[in-house]
Amino acid sequence: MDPYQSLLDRLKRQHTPYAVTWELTHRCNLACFMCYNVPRAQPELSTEEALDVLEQLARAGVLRLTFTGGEVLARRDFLTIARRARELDFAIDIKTNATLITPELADELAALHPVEVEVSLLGATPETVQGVMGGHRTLNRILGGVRLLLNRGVRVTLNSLMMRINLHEREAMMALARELGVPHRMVFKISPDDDGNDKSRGQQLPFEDMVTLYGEMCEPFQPRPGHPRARTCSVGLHACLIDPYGVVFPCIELRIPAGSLRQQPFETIWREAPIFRELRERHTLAHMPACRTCPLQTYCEGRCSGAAWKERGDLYAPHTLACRQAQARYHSLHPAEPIPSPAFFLEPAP
Amino acid sequence: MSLPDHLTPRRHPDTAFRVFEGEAVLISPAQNMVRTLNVTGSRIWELMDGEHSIADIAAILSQEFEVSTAHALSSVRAFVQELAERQLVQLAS
Repeated sequence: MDPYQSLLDRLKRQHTPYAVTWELTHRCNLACFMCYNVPRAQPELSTEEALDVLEQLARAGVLRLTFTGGEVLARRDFLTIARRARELDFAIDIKTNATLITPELADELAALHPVEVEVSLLGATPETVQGVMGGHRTLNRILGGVRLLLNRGVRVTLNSLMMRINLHEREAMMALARELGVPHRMVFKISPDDDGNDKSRGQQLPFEDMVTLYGEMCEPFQPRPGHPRARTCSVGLHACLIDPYGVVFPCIELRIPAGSLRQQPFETIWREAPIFRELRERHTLAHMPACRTCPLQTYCEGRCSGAAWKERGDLYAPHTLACRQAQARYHSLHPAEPIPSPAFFLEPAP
Repeated sequence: MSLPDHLTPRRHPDTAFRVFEGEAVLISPAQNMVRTLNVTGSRIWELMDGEHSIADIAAILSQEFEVSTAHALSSVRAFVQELAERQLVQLAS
């Protein structure tokens, strides 16, 4: 096995925190209609608090640190925090809408040597981007920011959340990425808000489009039988999320608080929080009876406990989007056969 | 040609790393590379701080791993050379 993968597997088994996603702020200069952040009426971590958290994360062994928001560049002390992170030898990734990047800021970002800057691209025309993200001349500003980074040798990836509103521009978004010479990632999961409000549900792709996309895009897929001890994802094992208020969560989707860094050290939260213990001990197919016995289980890749929690109030339940995606994957691979229904509450697939 | 022993290697500033139970993981954005090092390589990596010379590092390794100085020196030279070629370390006199 690849030595890096082997090490990651070991870190997961040992519950060593390796990767942290950190929402530095929920402030943003844009207003994407499907944004899942729910800002709270309390102060975000101060610069001093954030620098202290960095020291704690370094001591705990975290290597990969992803800064996200909100819009991270809307935080005036972003560079102070990111520079300190580099001094502490973190490998940093930055998620941004890129619209605030000036030549001077691009110089500073390049000097941080991020592993990757991921930029959201939610359409290929000014009208669609405006419709999703708001702002003024937003697409131009995104592409301008990306070019400033690329000119300085920063590795950029474009990330597109595919929705009903922008699906028709999928090819054009891919063409834009090709023109810029950057990788393009497409995501099909529209998350409910952090408080569970599923306000953008109507933007989820229709079933027939999921089938088409799986047929066109996905790498060869081999159905895999799930062992009872198998995990549907590695939530709680070697990664977590910190929100702008210093609250630690298992992941960006699973918003069950593990503890506050304003009240407890990171290592205490990581080792002792009930939600982490629960996930480490029980987050296996053995505890997901509906999923384990589902006829589509071997076609299911997108099951997410955070989504299940928000939708069903049950960490171990199935959830609609994963079931629909499993059906779409099945149908793209077996177009002539009837689509099995998951052992769940879905209406039959069309 | 082997590297002079008085050179002081320094980890390249764009490289991120962490040591897990003696094994280092290096991430180099510039090289788009992730690499793991074994225990000896990780110790050399930690000592490449721009203050220890190749000779210093070899002397420390010789003590810690109970190998001859000549053997340690040869290993450190080869390792530093390889990392320098991959632009993971910088060399200064």
